[in-house]
Amino acid sequence: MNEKVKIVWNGIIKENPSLRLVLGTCPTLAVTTLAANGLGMGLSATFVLICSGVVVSALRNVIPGKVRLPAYITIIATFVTVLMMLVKAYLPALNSSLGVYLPLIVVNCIILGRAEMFASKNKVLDSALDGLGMGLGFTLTLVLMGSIREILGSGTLFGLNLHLPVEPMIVFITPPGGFFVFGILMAGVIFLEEKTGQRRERKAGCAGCPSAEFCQAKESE
Amino acid sequence: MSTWSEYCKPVAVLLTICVVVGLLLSGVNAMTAPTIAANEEAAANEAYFAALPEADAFTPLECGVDGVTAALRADNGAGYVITAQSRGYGGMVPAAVAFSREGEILNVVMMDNDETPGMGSKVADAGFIANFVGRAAQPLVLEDIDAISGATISSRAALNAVNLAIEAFHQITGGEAG
Repeated sequence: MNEKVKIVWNGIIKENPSLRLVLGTCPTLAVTTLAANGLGMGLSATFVLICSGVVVSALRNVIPGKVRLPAYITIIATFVTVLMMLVKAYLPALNSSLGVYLPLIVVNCIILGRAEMFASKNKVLDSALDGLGMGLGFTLTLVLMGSIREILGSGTLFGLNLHLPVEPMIVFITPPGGFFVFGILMAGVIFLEEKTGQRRERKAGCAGCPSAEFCQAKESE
Repeated sequence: MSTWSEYCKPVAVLLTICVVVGLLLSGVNAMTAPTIAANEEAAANEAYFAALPEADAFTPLECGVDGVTAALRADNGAGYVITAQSRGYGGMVPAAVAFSREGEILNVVMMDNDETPGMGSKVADAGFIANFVGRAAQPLVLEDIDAISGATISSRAALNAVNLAIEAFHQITGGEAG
């Protein structure tokens, strides 16, 4: 497979940020009460991922290691603020449904995680593609989870009434229902790993972290 | 390692990033601020017109009642709209209450709240709103209304918000109506 396609594909399946790297769990659980909210959140995060990936990668030889985290956070916060102003001005409905989770993209660990793990070590184009792949992986997971919760919890999908024969189960749009669906999806991922013979060993503690091989805290130990 | 790369460069780089970012943000802000302000005003107006569709335009009035967020008089004399909020189960429960000039509650619109979906969020249902419509602007107690079963806190919050609006109505009309 072409190298560039591989980078994008990596984020969607192999290192899916929500289900395999287990990053960005807070927005994953919080905004997926409706499929449309998941889509809005996913695309917003994708925008920030691509833009911050490009800038961090372009500045990777300029930013000294000592101040890399404050520099990355400043860059990420800038793009989130730009996004927030644009959404408020041109998509006010999305702004009111995402609420506080829109500014909280600043501290979404997928974005800082990819800046640290990928963009700070790779070329600009590759970093943009990594952001695109990670963003799409995140978006697809949120839309999938949002669809399950919306269908079961409200009996609608993207706002369309599905006229289901059973009463909607409201628990699915509450936080406990979010954890339940997330758990089922994680179990589904492990089931697929088992089926395709790619079972990843999961350990407790630091070594069990999906990002352990990139982690700089480990190196300095 | 020299003093420059050890101490000065990190500061200089971070400072440069912040300056560039600041300029960029002020540019975007200047571009979007007017649209954002217009959107916010339109969103507020939408609630007022939903409560009192007969009105043509609104004039804001002064009101000193705690919890009342806006008090407006319809320019064509259709009545008044007062928005008030009270604490519910998941945050504030805001309501826009429309009064006729004679002091009758014409309509209540429950604005966005964070009450439990399917439980407290039912305060916005037509069945619950019907508790208030047509009543005289006199303070209500919980026994006066048909509260939502399983959502007493949300029902009480909605009731309190309406009561605050009633209090504000008497204040702005000088107690002569109703």
